[in-house]
Amino acid sequence: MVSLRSLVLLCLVALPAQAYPWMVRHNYGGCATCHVDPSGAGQLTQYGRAQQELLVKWQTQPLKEGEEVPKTAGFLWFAELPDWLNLSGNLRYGSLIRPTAGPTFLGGIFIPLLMAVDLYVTLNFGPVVAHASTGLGIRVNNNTGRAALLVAQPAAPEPGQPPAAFQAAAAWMAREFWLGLKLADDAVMFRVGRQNLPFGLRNAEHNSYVRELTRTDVNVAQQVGASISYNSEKLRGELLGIIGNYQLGPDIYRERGYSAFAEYAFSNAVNVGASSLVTHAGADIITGLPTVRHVHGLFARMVPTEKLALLMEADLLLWQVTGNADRFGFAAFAQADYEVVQGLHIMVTGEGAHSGGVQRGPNLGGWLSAAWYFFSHCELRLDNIFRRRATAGEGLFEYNLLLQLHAYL
Amino acid sequence: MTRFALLSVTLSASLALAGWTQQGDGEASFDAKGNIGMKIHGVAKKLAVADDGKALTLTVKFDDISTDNTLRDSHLKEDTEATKYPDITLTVPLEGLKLDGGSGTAKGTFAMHGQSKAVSFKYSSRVKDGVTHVEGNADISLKDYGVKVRSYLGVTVKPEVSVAAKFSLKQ
Repeated sequence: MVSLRSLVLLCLVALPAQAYPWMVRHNYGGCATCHVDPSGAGQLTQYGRAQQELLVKWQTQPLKEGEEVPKTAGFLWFAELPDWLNLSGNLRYGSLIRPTAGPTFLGGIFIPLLMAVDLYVTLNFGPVVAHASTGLGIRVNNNTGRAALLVAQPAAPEPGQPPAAFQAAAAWMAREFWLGLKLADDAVMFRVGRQNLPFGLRNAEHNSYVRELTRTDVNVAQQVGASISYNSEKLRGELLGIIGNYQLGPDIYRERGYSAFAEYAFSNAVNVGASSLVTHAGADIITGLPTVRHVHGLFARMVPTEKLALLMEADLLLWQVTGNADRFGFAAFAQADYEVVQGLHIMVTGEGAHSGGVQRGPNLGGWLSAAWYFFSHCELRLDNIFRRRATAGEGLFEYNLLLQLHAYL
Repeated sequence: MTRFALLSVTLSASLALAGWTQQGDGEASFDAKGNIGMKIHGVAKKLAVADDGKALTLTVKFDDISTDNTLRDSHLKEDTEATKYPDITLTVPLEGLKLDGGSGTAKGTFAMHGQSKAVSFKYSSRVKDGVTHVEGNADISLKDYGVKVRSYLGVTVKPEVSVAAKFSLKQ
Protein backbone atom coordinates (compact mmCIF):
# COMPACT_ATOMS: atom_id res chain seq x y z
CA MET A 1 0.00 0.00 0.00
CA VAL A 2 2.88 2.31 0.77
CA SER A 3 4.12 2.04 -2.77
CA LEU A 4 0.69 2.77 -4.13
CA ARG A 5 0.51 5.91 -2.00
CA SER A 6 3.85 6.86 -3.46
CA LEU A 7 2.48 6.34 -6.92
CA VAL A 8 -0.29 8.74 -6.09
CA LEU A 9 2.30 11.26 -4.90
CA LEU A 10 4.10 10.94 -8.20
CA CYS A 11 0.95 11.97 -9.93
CA LEU A 12 0.55 14.89 -7.54
CA VAL A 13 3.68 16.71 -8.48
CA ALA A 14 3.41 16.73 -12.23
CA LEU A 15 1.42 19.16 -14.30
CA PRO A 16 2.26 18.36 -17.88
CA ALA A 17 -1.19 19.11 -19.14
CA GLN A 18 -1.66 21.65 -21.90
CA ALA A 19 -5.31 22.55 -21.79
CA TYR A 20 -7.02 25.88 -21.41
CA PRO A 21 -10.73 25.43 -20.73
CA TRP A 22 -10.86 29.19 -20.10
CA MET A 23 -10.51 29.70 -23.88
CA VAL A 24 -14.29 29.74 -23.72
CA ARG A 25 -13.64 33.41 -22.95
CA HIS A 26 -12.63 33.85 -26.57
CA ASN A 27 -15.67 32.00 -27.90
CA TYR A 28 -13.73 28.78 -28.23
CA GLY A 29 -16.32 26.67 -26.42
CA GLY A 30 -15.16 23.59 -28.27
CA CYS A 31 -11.64 22.21 -28.23
CA ALA A 32 -11.35 20.50 -31.58
CA THR A 33 -10.44 23.60 -33.58
CA CYS A 34 -7.23 24.05 -31.61
CA HIS A 35 -6.35 20.56 -30.34
CA VAL A 36 -5.58 17.32 -32.17
CA ASP A 37 -7.62 15.51 -29.51
CA PRO A 38 -11.21 16.56 -30.33
CA SER A 39 -12.01 16.83 -26.62
CA GLY A 40 -9.01 18.99 -25.86
CA ALA A 41 -5.61 18.93 -24.14
CA GLY A 42 -2.23 18.01 -25.53
CA GLN A 43 -0.96 18.73 -28.99
CA LEU A 44 -2.23 21.79 -30.80
CA THR A 45 -3.28 21.91 -34.42
CA GLN A 46 -1.64 24.46 -36.71
CA TYR A 47 -4.69 26.64 -36.16
CA GLY A 48 -4.34 26.19 -32.41
CA ARG A 49 -0.71 27.31 -32.55
CA ALA A 50 -1.79 30.49 -34.32
CA GLN A 51 -4.52 31.18 -31.78
CA GLN A 52 -2.11 30.59 -28.91
CA GLU A 53 0.13 33.24 -30.42
CA LEU A 54 -2.75 35.66 -30.92
CA LEU A 55 -4.90 35.09 -27.84
CA VAL A 56 -2.77 33.42 -25.16
CA LYS A 57 0.72 34.87 -25.48
CA TRP A 58 1.69 38.02 -23.63
CA GLN A 59 1.77 40.86 -26.18
CA THR A 60 4.00 43.86 -25.75
CA GLN A 61 2.29 45.47 -28.71
CA PRO A 62 -0.82 44.47 -30.63
CA LEU A 63 -0.60 42.75 -33.98
CA LYS A 64 -0.57 45.34 -36.72
CA GLU A 65 -3.27 45.27 -39.35
CA GLY A 66 -2.39 42.87 -42.11
CA GLU A 67 0.40 41.29 -40.06
CA GLU A 68 0.35 37.49 -40.04
CA VAL A 69 1.21 35.17 -37.16
CA PRO A 70 5.00 35.29 -36.60
CA LYS A 71 7.17 32.29 -37.39
CA THR A 72 7.89 31.82 -33.70
CA ALA A 73 4.46 30.22 -33.44
CA GLY A 74 5.74 27.28 -35.48
CA PHE A 75 7.43 24.03 -34.46
CA LEU A 76 10.75 24.73 -32.72
CA TRP A 77 9.90 28.45 -33.01
CA PHE A 78 10.84 28.61 -36.70
CA ALA A 79 9.79 25.57 -38.73
CA GLU A 80 6.94 25.65 -41.22
CA LEU A 81 5.59 22.16 -41.66
CA PRO A 82 3.43 20.80 -44.46
CA ASP A 83 -0.30 20.49 -43.73
CA TRP A 84 -0.10 16.72 -43.39
CA LEU A 85 2.61 16.79 -40.73
CA ASN A 86 2.20 18.18 -37.23
CA LEU A 87 5.20 17.89 -34.91
CA SER A 88 5.55 19.30 -31.45
CA GLY A 89 6.87 18.54 -28.03
CA ASN A 90 6.23 19.21 -24.42
CA LEU A 91 9.08 20.10 -22.07
CA ARG A 92 8.20 20.97 -18.52
CA TYR A 93 10.60 21.51 -15.69
CA GLY A 94 9.69 22.60 -12.22
CA SER A 95 10.79 23.05 -8.66
CA LEU A 96 8.58 21.83 -5.87
CA ILE A 97 9.01 23.11 -2.37
CA ARG A 98 7.17 21.06 0.23
CA PRO A 99 7.61 22.66 3.62
CA THR A 100 6.50 20.53 6.50
CA ALA A 101 3.81 21.77 8.82
CA GLY A 102 4.50 23.41 12.15
CA PRO A 103 7.82 24.61 13.54
CA THR A 104 9.84 22.92 10.82
CA PHE A 105 7.93 24.77 8.12
CA LEU A 106 11.02 26.42 6.69
CA GLY A 107 12.88 23.15 6.50
CA GLY A 108 10.93 22.18 3.44
CA ILE A 109 11.99 19.75 0.82
CA PHE A 110 13.20 21.20 -2.45
CA ILE A 111 12.53 18.77 -5.24
CA PRO A 112 13.63 19.44 -8.81
CA LEU A 113 11.14 17.91 -11.19
CA LEU A 114 11.52 16.99 -14.78
CA MET A 115 7.82 16.71 -15.39
CA ALA A 116 7.51 16.02 -19.06
CA VAL A 117 9.78 15.29 -21.98
CA ASP A 118 7.33 14.32 -24.67
CA LEU A 119 7.32 14.49 -28.42
CA TYR A 120 4.09 14.51 -30.42
CA VAL A 121 3.53 13.56 -34.02
CA THR A 122 0.27 13.76 -35.92
CA LEU A 123 -0.21 12.80 -39.54
CA ASN A 124 -3.20 14.16 -41.44
CA PHE A 125 -4.22 12.41 -44.63
CA GLY A 126 -7.58 13.90 -45.54
CA PRO A 127 -10.11 12.55 -43.06
CA VAL A 128 -7.62 10.08 -41.57
CA VAL A 129 -5.55 11.20 -38.58
CA ALA A 130 -2.79 9.26 -36.86
CA HIS A 131 -1.43 10.56 -33.57
CA ALA A 132 1.26 9.37 -31.19
CA SER A 133 3.22 10.79 -28.31
CA THR A 134 6.41 9.41 -26.89
CA GLY A 135 8.89 10.50 -24.34
CA LEU A 136 11.20 9.64 -21.52
CA GLY A 137 9.43 8.77 -18.32
CA ILE A 138 9.75 6.64 -15.27
CA ARG A 139 8.38 3.13 -15.09
CA VAL A 140 7.27 2.47 -11.55
CA ASN A 141 6.78 -1.02 -10.17
CA ASN A 142 4.89 -1.83 -7.06
CA ASN A 143 6.90 -3.66 -4.40
CA THR A 144 4.56 -6.62 -4.66
CA GLY A 145 4.97 -6.71 -8.39
CA ARG A 146 1.26 -6.78 -8.86
CA ALA A 147 1.00 -3.60 -10.89
CA ALA A 148 3.08 -1.24 -12.94
CA LEU A 149 2.35 2.28 -14.01
CA LEU A 150 4.09 4.69 -16.26
CA VAL A 151 4.56 8.16 -14.93
CA ALA A 152 6.44 11.10 -16.30
CA GLN A 153 8.62 12.32 -13.52
CA PRO A 154 11.22 11.10 -11.05
CA ALA A 155 10.04 9.53 -7.87
CA ALA A 156 9.55 11.89 -4.97
CA PRO A 157 9.49 10.28 -1.54
CA GLU A 158 6.71 11.07 0.85
CA PRO A 159 7.87 12.76 4.04
CA GLY A 160 8.84 10.10 6.52
CA GLN A 161 8.87 7.35 3.94
CA PRO A 162 11.98 5.70 2.53
CA PRO A 163 12.65 6.84 -1.02
CA ALA A 164 12.84 3.31 -2.41
CA ALA A 165 9.36 2.16 -1.52
CA PHE A 166 9.01 1.12 -5.11
CA GLN A 167 11.29 0.40 -8.01
CA ALA A 168 11.62 3.07 -10.63
CA ALA A 169 13.56 3.07 -13.85
CA ALA A 170 13.77 5.35 -16.84
CA ALA A 171 11.75 4.12 -19.77
CA TRP A 172 10.37 5.25 -23.06
CA MET A 173 6.69 5.76 -22.69
CA ALA A 174 3.71 6.59 -24.87
CA ARG A 175 0.74 8.31 -23.34
CA GLU A 176 -1.30 8.40 -26.51
CA PHE A 177 -1.37 6.59 -29.80
CA TRP A 178 -4.49 6.43 -31.86
CA LEU A 179 -5.89 6.35 -35.36
CA GLY A 180 -8.84 8.58 -36.18
CA LEU A 181 -11.36 9.13 -38.95
CA LYS A 182 -13.13 12.48 -39.38
CA LEU A 183 -16.57 12.64 -40.93
CA ALA A 184 -19.42 15.13 -41.48
CA ASP A 185 -17.22 18.16 -42.17
CA ASP A 186 -14.94 17.16 -39.28
CA ALA A 187 -17.82 17.32 -36.76
CA VAL A 188 -17.64 13.58 -36.06
CA MET A 189 -14.48 11.66 -35.27
CA PHE A 190 -13.97 7.95 -34.64
CA ARG A 191 -10.79 6.94 -32.86
CA VAL A 192 -9.18 3.68 -31.79
CA GLY A 193 -6.10 3.42 -29.65
CA ARG A 194 -4.74 4.76 -26.39
CA GLN A 195 -6.40 8.05 -25.56
CA ASN A 196 -7.46 10.42 -22.82
CA LEU A 197 -10.66 9.65 -20.97
CA PRO A 198 -13.53 11.93 -22.01
CA PHE A 199 -14.77 13.20 -18.68
CA GLY A 200 -15.35 16.60 -17.09
CA LEU A 201 -13.07 19.57 -17.44
CA ARG A 202 -9.72 19.01 -19.09
CA ASN A 203 -8.21 21.42 -16.60
CA ALA A 204 -4.46 21.95 -16.52
CA GLU A 205 -4.35 21.03 -12.82
CA HIS A 206 -4.41 17.35 -13.60
CA ASN A 207 -3.66 16.48 -9.97
CA SER A 208 -6.77 18.26 -8.72
CA TYR A 209 -9.11 16.01 -6.77
CA VAL A 210 -11.63 15.87 -9.61
CA ARG A 211 -9.00 14.43 -11.91
CA GLU A 212 -7.23 12.31 -9.31
CA LEU A 213 -10.22 10.58 -7.75
CA THR A 214 -12.06 10.09 -11.02
CA ARG A 215 -8.81 8.77 -12.57
CA THR A 216 -9.35 10.91 -15.63
CA ASP A 217 -6.23 13.06 -15.67
CA VAL A 218 -4.30 13.48 -18.88
CA ASN A 219 -0.98 12.59 -17.29
CA VAL A 220 -1.24 8.85 -16.68
CA ALA A 221 -4.93 7.94 -17.01
CA GLN A 222 -5.12 7.15 -20.71
CA GLN A 223 -6.85 3.93 -21.72
CA VAL A 224 -7.01 1.84 -24.84
CA GLY A 225 -10.40 1.83 -26.49
CA ALA A 226 -12.64 3.06 -29.28
CA SER A 227 -14.38 6.41 -29.20
CA ILE A 228 -16.74 8.63 -31.12
CA SER A 229 -16.77 12.38 -30.63
CA TYR A 230 -19.04 15.13 -31.90
CA ASN A 231 -18.33 18.85 -32.09
CA SER A 232 -20.77 21.52 -33.23
CA GLU A 233 -21.05 25.15 -32.19
CA LYS A 234 -23.63 24.29 -29.53
CA LEU A 235 -23.04 20.69 -28.56
CA ARG A 236 -19.90 18.66 -28.09
CA GLY A 237 -19.26 15.30 -26.52
CA GLU A 238 -17.42 12.01 -26.66
CA LEU A 239 -18.04 8.40 -25.72
CA LEU A 240 -15.12 6.02 -25.16
CA GLY A 241 -15.48 2.29 -24.80
CA ILE A 242 -12.58 1.28 -22.56
CA ILE A 243 -10.82 -2.03 -23.08
CA GLY A 244 -8.02 -1.40 -20.62
CA ASN A 245 -4.75 0.29 -19.78
CA TYR A 246 -2.16 -2.04 -21.24
CA GLN A 247 0.67 -0.19 -19.51
CA LEU A 248 -0.72 -1.55 -16.27
CA GLY A 249 -0.56 -5.20 -15.43
CA PRO A 250 -1.41 -7.95 -14.88
CA ASP A 251 -4.74 -7.96 -16.62
CA ILE A 252 -6.81 -8.31 -13.46
CA TYR A 253 -6.06 -4.65 -12.62
CA ARG A 254 -7.26 -3.27 -15.96
CA GLU A 255 -10.51 -1.33 -15.86
CA ARG A 256 -13.06 -1.92 -18.62
CA GLY A 257 -16.23 -0.01 -19.29
CA TYR A 258 -17.04 3.43 -20.68
CA SER A 259 -16.36 7.09 -20.12
CA ALA A 260 -18.34 9.91 -21.70
CA PHE A 261 -19.25 13.55 -21.51
CA ALA A 262 -21.54 15.99 -23.30
CA GLU A 263 -21.46 19.77 -23.06
CA TYR A 264 -24.00 22.27 -24.36
CA ALA A 265 -23.39 25.97 -24.99
CA PHE A 266 -26.48 27.79 -23.75
CA SER A 267 -24.87 31.03 -24.90
CA ASN A 268 -21.41 32.33 -25.73
CA ALA A 269 -20.91 32.77 -21.98
CA VAL A 270 -22.47 29.66 -20.46
CA ASN A 271 -21.44 26.06 -21.19
CA VAL A 272 -22.82 23.24 -19.06
CA GLY A 273 -21.91 19.57 -19.32
CA ALA A 274 -22.44 16.16 -17.79
CA SER A 275 -20.03 13.24 -17.51
CA SER A 276 -20.38 9.58 -16.72
CA LEU A 277 -17.93 6.73 -16.23
CA VAL A 278 -18.49 3.12 -15.22
CA THR A 279 -15.65 0.60 -15.19
CA HIS A 280 -15.02 -2.87 -13.82
CA ALA A 281 -11.71 -4.30 -12.70
CA GLY A 282 -11.04 -7.77 -11.36
CA ALA A 283 -8.88 -6.06 -8.75
CA ASP A 284 -8.88 -2.36 -8.03
CA ILE A 285 -5.37 -0.94 -8.14
CA ILE A 286 -5.77 0.63 -4.70
CA THR A 287 -7.84 -1.91 -2.77
CA GLY A 288 -7.12 -5.10 -4.66
CA LEU A 289 -10.82 -5.97 -4.56
CA PRO A 290 -13.03 -6.72 -7.58
CA THR A 291 -14.69 -3.36 -8.11
CA VAL A 292 -17.21 -1.62 -10.31
CA ARG A 293 -16.33 2.08 -10.21
CA HIS A 294 -19.02 4.67 -10.96
CA VAL A 295 -18.33 8.37 -11.48
CA HIS A 296 -21.08 10.74 -12.58
CA GLY A 297 -20.99 14.50 -12.50
CA LEU A 298 -21.68 17.93 -13.87
CA PHE A 299 -19.34 20.66 -15.02
CA ALA A 300 -19.67 24.20 -16.30
CA ARG A 301 -17.61 26.91 -17.93
CA MET A 302 -18.85 30.47 -17.68
CA VAL A 303 -17.65 33.91 -18.72
CA PRO A 304 -19.35 36.49 -16.47
CA THR A 305 -17.09 39.31 -17.67
CA GLU A 306 -14.63 39.71 -20.51
CA LYS A 307 -11.64 39.13 -18.21
CA LEU A 308 -13.02 36.37 -16.02
CA ALA A 309 -13.67 32.70 -16.69
CA LEU A 310 -15.24 30.36 -14.15
CA LEU A 311 -14.70 26.60 -14.27
CA MET A 312 -16.68 24.22 -12.09
CA GLU A 313 -17.03 20.49 -11.71
CA ALA A 314 -18.72 18.23 -9.18
CA ASP A 315 -18.64 14.43 -9.34
CA LEU A 316 -20.31 11.68 -7.36
CA LEU A 317 -18.15 8.60 -6.78
CA LEU A 318 -19.34 5.09 -6.02
CA TRP A 319 -17.28 1.96 -5.55
CA GLN A 320 -19.27 -1.25 -5.88
CA VAL A 321 -17.66 -4.41 -4.55
CA THR A 322 -19.17 -7.80 -5.34
CA GLY A 323 -22.40 -6.15 -6.40
CA ASN A 324 -22.89 -4.07 -3.27
CA ALA A 325 -22.30 -0.37 -2.83
CA ASP A 326 -19.13 -0.30 -0.79
CA ARG A 327 -18.18 3.37 -0.65
CA PHE A 328 -19.63 6.71 -1.73
CA GLY A 329 -17.51 9.77 -2.26
CA PHE A 330 -17.35 13.03 -4.15
CA ALA A 331 -14.91 15.38 -5.80
CA ALA A 332 -15.52 19.04 -6.54
CA PHE A 333 -13.54 21.83 -8.18
CA ALA A 334 -14.13 25.53 -8.78
CA GLN A 335 -11.70 27.95 -10.35
CA ALA A 336 -11.79 31.64 -11.19
CA ASP A 337 -9.33 32.54 -13.93
CA TYR A 338 -8.72 36.27 -14.28
CA GLU A 339 -6.74 37.57 -17.24
CA VAL A 340 -4.99 40.65 -15.87
CA VAL A 341 -3.61 41.47 -19.29
CA GLN A 342 -3.32 39.12 -22.23
CA GLY A 343 -0.74 36.50 -21.31
CA LEU A 344 -0.92 36.97 -17.54
CA HIS A 345 -3.48 34.97 -15.58
CA ILE A 346 -4.28 34.83 -11.89
CA MET A 347 -6.20 31.75 -10.78
CA VAL A 348 -7.95 31.08 -7.50
CA THR A 349 -9.07 27.49 -7.04
CA GLY A 350 -11.04 25.69 -4.38
CA GLU A 351 -11.54 21.95 -4.24
CA GLY A 352 -12.90 19.25 -1.99
CA ALA A 353 -13.21 15.49 -2.06
CA HIS A 354 -14.05 12.44 -0.02
CA SER A 355 -12.96 8.97 -1.03
CA GLY A 356 -15.63 7.27 1.03
CA GLY A 357 -13.12 5.61 3.32
CA VAL A 358 -12.57 5.96 7.03
CA GLN A 359 -11.20 9.47 6.70
CA ARG A 360 -12.71 12.09 8.97
CA GLY A 361 -14.20 14.83 6.86
CA PRO A 362 -13.34 15.73 3.30
CA ASN A 363 -10.02 16.53 1.71
CA LEU A 364 -9.92 20.26 1.09
CA GLY A 365 -7.66 22.29 -1.13
CA GLY A 366 -7.04 25.86 -2.13
CA TRP A 367 -4.78 27.05 -4.91
CA LEU A 368 -3.46 30.50 -5.62
CA SER A 369 -1.73 30.45 -8.98
CA ALA A 370 -0.30 32.70 -11.64
CA ALA A 371 0.61 31.85 -15.23
CA TRP A 372 2.64 34.06 -17.52
CA TYR A 373 2.74 33.12 -21.20
CA PHE A 374 5.81 35.23 -21.75
CA PHE A 375 6.87 34.06 -25.21
CA SER A 376 5.59 31.95 -28.08
CA HIS A 377 4.47 28.62 -26.58
CA CYS A 378 6.35 29.23 -23.34
CA GLU A 379 4.81 29.47 -19.91
CA LEU A 380 6.03 30.26 -16.43
CA ARG A 381 3.61 29.15 -13.75
CA LEU A 382 3.55 29.46 -9.98
CA ASP A 383 1.17 27.45 -7.81
CA ASN A 384 0.63 27.82 -4.09
CA ILE A 385 -1.24 24.67 -3.15
CA PHE A 386 -2.78 24.43 0.30
CA ARG A 387 -4.37 21.13 1.17
CA ARG A 388 -5.93 19.48 4.14
CA ARG A 389 -5.62 15.79 3.50
CA ALA A 390 -8.18 13.93 5.59
CA THR A 391 -7.07 10.90 7.58
CA ALA A 392 -8.66 8.68 10.18
CA GLY A 393 -7.28 11.17 12.69
CA GLU A 394 -7.04 14.94 12.62
CA GLY A 395 -5.89 15.15 9.04
CA LEU A 396 -2.69 16.46 7.50
CA PHE A 397 -2.07 20.00 6.31
CA GLU A 398 0.13 20.26 3.25
CA TYR A 399 1.58 23.22 1.47
CA ASN A 400 3.32 22.95 -1.88
CA LEU A 401 4.94 25.75 -3.78
CA LEU A 402 5.43 24.76 -7.37
CA LEU A 403 7.31 26.80 -9.94
CA GLN A 404 7.25 25.52 -13.49
CA LEU A 405 8.79 26.44 -16.78
CA HIS A 406 6.93 24.96 -19.69
CA ALA A 407 8.03 25.04 -23.28
CA TYR A 408 5.83 23.59 -25.96
CA LEU A 409 7.98 22.94 -28.99
CA MET B 1 -42.48 87.42 -46.62
CA THR B 2 -42.38 85.23 -49.69
CA ARG B 3 -38.82 84.19 -48.77
CA PHE B 4 -39.97 83.33 -45.25
CA ALA B 5 -42.82 81.22 -46.63
CA LEU B 6 -40.47 79.37 -48.97
CA LEU B 7 -38.02 78.73 -46.11
CA SER B 8 -40.82 77.47 -43.94
CA VAL B 9 -42.05 75.09 -46.63
CA THR B 10 -38.52 73.83 -47.24
CA LEU B 11 -37.91 73.23 -43.53
CA SER B 12 -41.23 71.45 -43.15
CA ALA B 13 -40.42 69.23 -46.09
CA SER B 14 -37.00 68.41 -44.63
CA LEU B 15 -38.49 67.51 -41.28
CA ALA B 16 -40.99 65.26 -42.99
CA LEU B 17 -38.17 63.53 -44.88
CA ALA B 18 -36.07 63.07 -41.76
CA GLY B 19 -38.61 62.10 -39.13
CA TRP B 20 -36.36 59.83 -37.08
CA THR B 21 -33.08 60.83 -35.52
CA GLN B 22 -30.68 58.37 -33.90
CA GLN B 23 -30.07 58.41 -30.18
CA GLY B 24 -26.73 56.99 -29.03
CA ASP B 25 -24.25 54.90 -31.05
CA GLY B 26 -26.21 51.73 -31.68
CA GLU B 27 -24.60 48.33 -32.02
CA ALA B 28 -24.39 45.60 -34.61
CA SER B 29 -23.15 42.04 -34.27
CA PHE B 30 -22.77 38.87 -36.25
CA ASP B 31 -22.43 35.20 -35.44
CA ALA B 32 -20.69 32.87 -37.84
CA LYS B 33 -19.90 29.17 -37.62
CA GLY B 34 -16.95 27.19 -38.82
CA ASN B 35 -16.13 23.54 -39.15
CA ILE B 36 -15.30 21.46 -36.03
CA GLY B 37 -17.73 23.45 -33.90
CA MET B 38 -15.99 26.78 -34.29
CA LYS B 39 -17.98 29.95 -33.73
CA ILE B 40 -17.15 33.60 -34.26
CA HIS B 41 -18.90 36.51 -32.61
CA GLY B 42 -18.20 39.93 -34.09
CA VAL B 43 -19.34 43.25 -32.69
CA ALA B 44 -19.41 46.81 -34.02
CA LYS B 45 -20.00 49.38 -31.31
CA LYS B 46 -21.02 51.96 -33.88
CA LEU B 47 -24.11 51.74 -36.03
CA ALA B 48 -25.37 54.75 -37.97
CA VAL B 49 -29.08 55.09 -38.70
CA ALA B 50 -30.34 57.59 -41.26
CA ASP B 51 -33.91 58.43 -42.22
CA ASP B 52 -34.57 59.94 -45.66
CA GLY B 53 -38.31 60.04 -45.14
CA LYS B 54 -38.93 56.86 -47.07
CA ALA B 55 -36.59 54.38 -45.54
CA LEU B 56 -34.23 53.80 -42.64
CA THR B 57 -30.67 53.02 -43.64
CA LEU B 58 -28.44 51.24 -41.13
CA THR B 59 -24.71 51.52 -41.82
CA VAL B 60 -21.82 49.66 -40.21
CA LYS B 61 -18.19 50.18 -41.16
CA PHE B 62 -15.92 47.13 -41.41
CA ASP B 63 -13.29 49.16 -39.55
CA ASP B 64 -15.55 49.18 -36.50
CA ILE B 65 -16.02 45.39 -36.36
CA SER B 66 -14.06 43.40 -33.81
CA THR B 67 -14.04 39.62 -33.46
CA ASP B 68 -11.67 39.56 -30.46
CA ASN B 69 -8.87 38.50 -32.77
CA THR B 70 -6.82 41.05 -34.70
CA LEU B 71 -5.67 38.61 -37.35
CA ARG B 72 -9.21 37.43 -37.96
CA ASP B 73 -10.34 41.05 -38.23
CA SER B 74 -7.69 41.61 -40.87
CA HIS B 75 -8.77 38.51 -42.78
CA LEU B 76 -12.39 39.68 -42.58
CA LYS B 77 -11.49 43.00 -44.14
CA GLU B 78 -9.37 41.36 -46.84
CA ASP B 79 -12.03 38.82 -47.77
CA THR B 80 -14.74 41.48 -47.99
CA GLU B 81 -12.44 43.99 -49.74
CA ALA B 82 -13.24 46.50 -47.04
CA THR B 83 -10.86 49.09 -48.45
CA LYS B 84 -12.92 49.19 -51.63
CA TYR B 85 -16.30 48.56 -49.96
CA PRO B 86 -15.99 49.92 -46.42
CA ASP B 87 -19.68 49.83 -45.46
CA ILE B 88 -22.38 47.28 -44.77
CA THR B 89 -25.88 48.70 -45.14
CA LEU B 90 -29.43 47.59 -44.55
CA THR B 91 -32.12 49.77 -46.09
CA VAL B 92 -35.65 49.26 -44.83
CA PRO B 93 -38.75 51.06 -46.15
CA LEU B 94 -40.49 52.89 -43.32
CA GLU B 95 -43.84 51.89 -44.71
CA GLY B 96 -45.13 48.95 -42.76
CA LEU B 97 -42.55 49.22 -39.97
CA LYS B 98 -44.12 49.23 -36.53
CA LEU B 99 -41.87 51.47 -34.51
CA ASP B 100 -44.49 52.29 -31.92
CA GLY B 101 -43.71 49.31 -29.71
CA GLY B 102 -44.67 46.71 -32.26
CA SER B 103 -42.73 43.84 -33.72
CA GLY B 104 -42.81 41.66 -36.77
CA THR B 105 -41.05 40.59 -39.90
CA ALA B 106 -40.06 43.03 -42.62
CA LYS B 107 -38.05 43.13 -45.79
CA GLY B 108 -35.09 45.30 -46.62
CA THR B 109 -32.06 45.45 -48.85
CA PHE B 110 -28.79 44.24 -47.41
CA ALA B 111 -25.67 45.45 -49.19
CA MET B 112 -21.99 44.63 -48.79
CA HIS B 113 -19.00 43.94 -50.99
CA GLY B 114 -20.57 46.03 -53.74
CA GLN B 115 -23.59 43.76 -54.05
CA SER B 116 -27.08 43.95 -52.62
CA LYS B 117 -29.90 41.50 -52.04
CA ALA B 118 -33.36 41.61 -50.50
CA VAL B 119 -33.49 40.06 -47.05
CA SER B 120 -36.20 39.28 -44.58
CA PHE B 121 -35.59 40.14 -40.94
CA LYS B 122 -37.32 40.04 -37.58
CA TYR B 123 -37.53 43.11 -35.41
CA SER B 124 -39.09 44.43 -32.26
CA SER B 125 -39.48 47.94 -30.92
CA ARG B 126 -40.03 49.33 -27.45
CA VAL B 127 -40.91 52.93 -26.57
CA LYS B 128 -39.63 54.39 -23.32
CA ASP B 129 -39.51 58.06 -22.37
CA GLY B 130 -40.20 59.10 -25.92
CA VAL B 131 -37.31 57.07 -27.33
CA THR B 132 -37.90 54.05 -29.54
CA HIS B 133 -35.49 51.16 -28.95
CA VAL B 134 -35.26 48.79 -31.90
CA GLU B 135 -33.68 45.34 -32.17
CA GLY B 136 -33.59 43.15 -35.24
CA ASN B 137 -31.83 40.17 -36.77
CA ALA B 138 -31.50 38.44 -40.11
CA ASP B 139 -29.76 35.49 -41.69
CA ILE B 140 -27.60 36.10 -44.73
CA SER B 141 -25.24 34.08 -46.88
CA LEU B 142 -21.87 35.53 -47.79
CA LYS B 143 -22.18 33.70 -51.11
CA ASP B 144 -25.00 36.07 -52.08
CA TYR B 145 -22.57 38.97 -51.86
CA GLY B 146 -19.71 37.40 -53.75
CA VAL B 147 -17.54 37.02 -50.65
CA LYS B 148 -15.14 34.10 -50.79
CA VAL B 149 -14.27 32.95 -47.28
CA ARG B 150 -10.78 31.65 -46.83
CA SER B 151 -9.75 28.37 -45.24
CA TYR B 152 -7.14 29.23 -42.60
CA LEU B 153 -4.93 26.42 -41.30
CA GLY B 154 -7.69 23.87 -41.74
CA VAL B 155 -10.52 25.98 -40.32
CA THR B 156 -13.17 27.40 -42.62
CA VAL B 157 -16.03 29.72 -41.82
CA LYS B 158 -19.41 28.70 -43.21
CA PRO B 159 -21.05 31.28 -45.49
CA GLU B 160 -24.30 31.40 -43.49
CA VAL B 161 -24.10 34.25 -41.01
CA SER B 162 -26.60 35.66 -38.51
CA VAL B 163 -26.54 39.44 -38.20
CA ALA B 164 -28.20 41.57 -35.55
CA ALA B 165 -28.57 45.25 -34.78
CA LYS B 166 -29.93 47.40 -31.99
CA PHE B 167 -30.33 51.13 -31.92
CA SER B 168 -32.49 53.90 -30.52
CA LEU B 169 -34.50 56.54 -32.39
CA LYS B 170 -36.46 59.63 -31.56
CA GLN B 171 -39.07 61.30 -33.70
